Amino acid sequence: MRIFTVTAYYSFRALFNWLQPVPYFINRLLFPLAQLAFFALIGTYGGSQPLSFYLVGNAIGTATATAFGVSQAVGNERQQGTLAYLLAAPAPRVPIFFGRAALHVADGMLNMVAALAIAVIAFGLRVPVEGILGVVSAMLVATLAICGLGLFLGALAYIVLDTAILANFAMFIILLLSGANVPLAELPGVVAAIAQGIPLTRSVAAARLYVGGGSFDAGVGLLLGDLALGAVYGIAGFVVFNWLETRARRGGRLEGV
Amino acid sequence: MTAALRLAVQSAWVDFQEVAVNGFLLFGAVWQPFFIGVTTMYMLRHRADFDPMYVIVGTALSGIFSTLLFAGSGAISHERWIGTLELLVASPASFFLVIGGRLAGTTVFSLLSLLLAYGIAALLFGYPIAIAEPGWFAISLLFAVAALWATGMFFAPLAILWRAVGHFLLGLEYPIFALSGLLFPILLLPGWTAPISNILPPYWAAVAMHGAARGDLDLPGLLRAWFFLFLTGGALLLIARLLFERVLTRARRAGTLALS
Amino acid sequence: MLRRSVGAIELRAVRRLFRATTGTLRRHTKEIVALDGLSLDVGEGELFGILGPNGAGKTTTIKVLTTLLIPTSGTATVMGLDVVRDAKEVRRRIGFVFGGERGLYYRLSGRDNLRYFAELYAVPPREIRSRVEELLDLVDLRPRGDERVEGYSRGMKQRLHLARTLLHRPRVLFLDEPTIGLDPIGARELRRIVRQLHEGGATIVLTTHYLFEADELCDRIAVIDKGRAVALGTPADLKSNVSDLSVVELEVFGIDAGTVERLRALDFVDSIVVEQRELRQVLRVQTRIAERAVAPLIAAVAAGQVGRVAVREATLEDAYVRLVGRVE
Repeated sequence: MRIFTVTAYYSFRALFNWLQPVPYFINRLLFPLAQLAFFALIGTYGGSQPLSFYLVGNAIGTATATAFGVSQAVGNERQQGTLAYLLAAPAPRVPIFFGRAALHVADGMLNMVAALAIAVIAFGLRVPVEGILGVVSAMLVATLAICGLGLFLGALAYIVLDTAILANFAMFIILLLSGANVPLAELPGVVAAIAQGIPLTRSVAAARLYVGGGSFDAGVGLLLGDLALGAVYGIAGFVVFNWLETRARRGGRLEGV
Repeated sequence: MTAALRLAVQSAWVDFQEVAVNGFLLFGAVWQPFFIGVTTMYMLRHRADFDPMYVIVGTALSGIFSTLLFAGSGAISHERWIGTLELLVASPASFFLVIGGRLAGTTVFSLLSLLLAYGIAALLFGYPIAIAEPGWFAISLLFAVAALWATGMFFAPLAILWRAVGHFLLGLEYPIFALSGLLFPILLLPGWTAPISNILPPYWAAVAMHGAARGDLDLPGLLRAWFFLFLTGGALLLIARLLFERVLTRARRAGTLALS
Repeated sequence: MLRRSVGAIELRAVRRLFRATTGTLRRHTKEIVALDGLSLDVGEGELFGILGPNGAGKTTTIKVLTTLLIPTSGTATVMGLDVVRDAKEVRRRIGFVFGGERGLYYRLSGRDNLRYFAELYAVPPREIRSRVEELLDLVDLRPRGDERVEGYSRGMKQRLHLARTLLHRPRVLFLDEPTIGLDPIGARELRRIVRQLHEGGATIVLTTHYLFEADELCDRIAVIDKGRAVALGTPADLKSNVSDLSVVELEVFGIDAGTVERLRALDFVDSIVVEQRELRQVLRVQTRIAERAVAPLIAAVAAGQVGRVAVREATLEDAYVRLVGRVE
């Protein structure tokens, strides 16, 4: 448990060593919100769905920004050359790995709360009181699911490409396929099927359900589904990480892997 | 004069070769526009007056702008990183011209977005594409690209002079997309943002190109848009020129032309 | 003594300060004095060497003269032109090479790199092709001119830098540690080229770590330390400073610092430099009494610890040690 907390703390601090409060505020809050406004306004112009569709979709969609932080926290070990030391340390893997994601969960939630606030205040989104619990749950699930994806991407970054590019890719694929901006029914069959395999698809649907006045129970299935998916990604990331380590130990190349 | 032109062209060629394999720039010029284009196509196609050219123009401009934003803000620090900054500054050539050439190379590269946007609309979605006024459109494109190049030149010294700015320059993408009316009319934005839109080159680029593509802008309207493209682009270029001088003098005073 | 015309290069009381900030929350600003009132003259056609330990200000001096740094105070002129006010004119007339791997466009070939820099230096377009070939020949890179620079060895990159700097036929050349990191053959090649350029009448300012190199190439040498000139003269002049000195070289095994201090304290010992060579050390003892120092030195060192002993004349390196108190 302690390792978990300590890792989380240092991971977060490391990220902020080169960041000061003001850029943080602008980068992580203002700009995801600009993205929300951008797509919401396109949606308004397009008129194929009510505004709330786009507001909820993109508010939940701001969760994708967390993928950057998480994947970088994991993927950066290589760049900073600390990977070798980390793997050689006797501390157990799981808490370290998941500890990385921890503070990003809080960070992601903050993002989404701000996004939702903008949606309500600036765009007049109405959330029924009974739906608030559901919406908050959807936000939490979305963040956790993205964190799982982020861990996976971070591990993947050791083999392929770069954390920033991977995370960007993921963000766009999710925005396109999760139903945040485009109803799943409009997507071609194969693509819609893929949509079921990415995080946020279910959370977005659940959030829309709750904003539309649905009961909490009605959406629970979706929430659990997304949570499970996130867990799968997280575990997959863990597996990849371990595999890489074994391979590196055998092959003798560690830093670049 | 011809020497200056030759230098600019050569610089552009150097840049083009470096850029063609740069993953990040590829992202801004190709992948991001791809996703924006496809998403927006889905979102807008149900409009009664839907014209695929609208999405093509908006997507292309977003790609060109993103690429130049990224490349521009990194232009000077890139040279510093690979160790050529000192060589460039200490040469008799105008540093402004050299970077200008560099960004021109990137600008040509960024036109991939246009190609891509066209591909999405015509091939992926299978729409017939028609430009109402091809001649005006071509001219608008030329002016638009020039103005966006000037914007990139503006970012180059800006990112150096104020480090903090560099951090959130990249986050300017969506706000600028929105304020420039690339993929929706700025009428949807609150009224007080209109003056901001009016000083942005991408806004006038969108006005001109959307207008020529759809044919709903008459010649006076087009001329007006072109005029403002020149004005805003020219102003940014002028400011860039002054900032370049500042950056170099400051670097020579502080000794930061090299990495160590 | 070399008869000098109007100084090709003049530095007058040049000071250069740097500010370094440390810490993230509480920031401390330190002022580092890189050049502390440096004054020098270099005549036209001279091959002038600047020697000094790390951090002495050699590279800073070069950067001031190549217009890359603005002096905090004092003036510097190259061929009569002020490096700050007339920077652009100065840039037309000078060439420079800084050591190191960077500063080239890796994705371009050697030839293309040269062609590009030729444009930067406004070499007349008609001349570019022939000039590039001529220089590739000079630095012996012609057969590999079309390969991308990213595949060049360090020595090749350095030679390409040299070719680059000669494109516009500069009258004044600045070479900052040009042979550093090169293998002995590569370094010798480079020195040969430098000598050739010198014979062609160029004014060359060379900074180097390698004392034998300065001795071999330079007409005059300035030794700078902590931003100031501590000696100036021909290699012979500098060596004459130590003409009264001899050097006793003692090979010892496992000597400790205390013993070295005791040796230093001996009244006939001018200075001692300890050089570590794997399991043994070599003590270079500067003394005025030459061979007569040997016996007392051996006696002062614990018996059985001394290997070979040699006595020789002082070299430029020893003069240098005497001036700056250390070898780096």
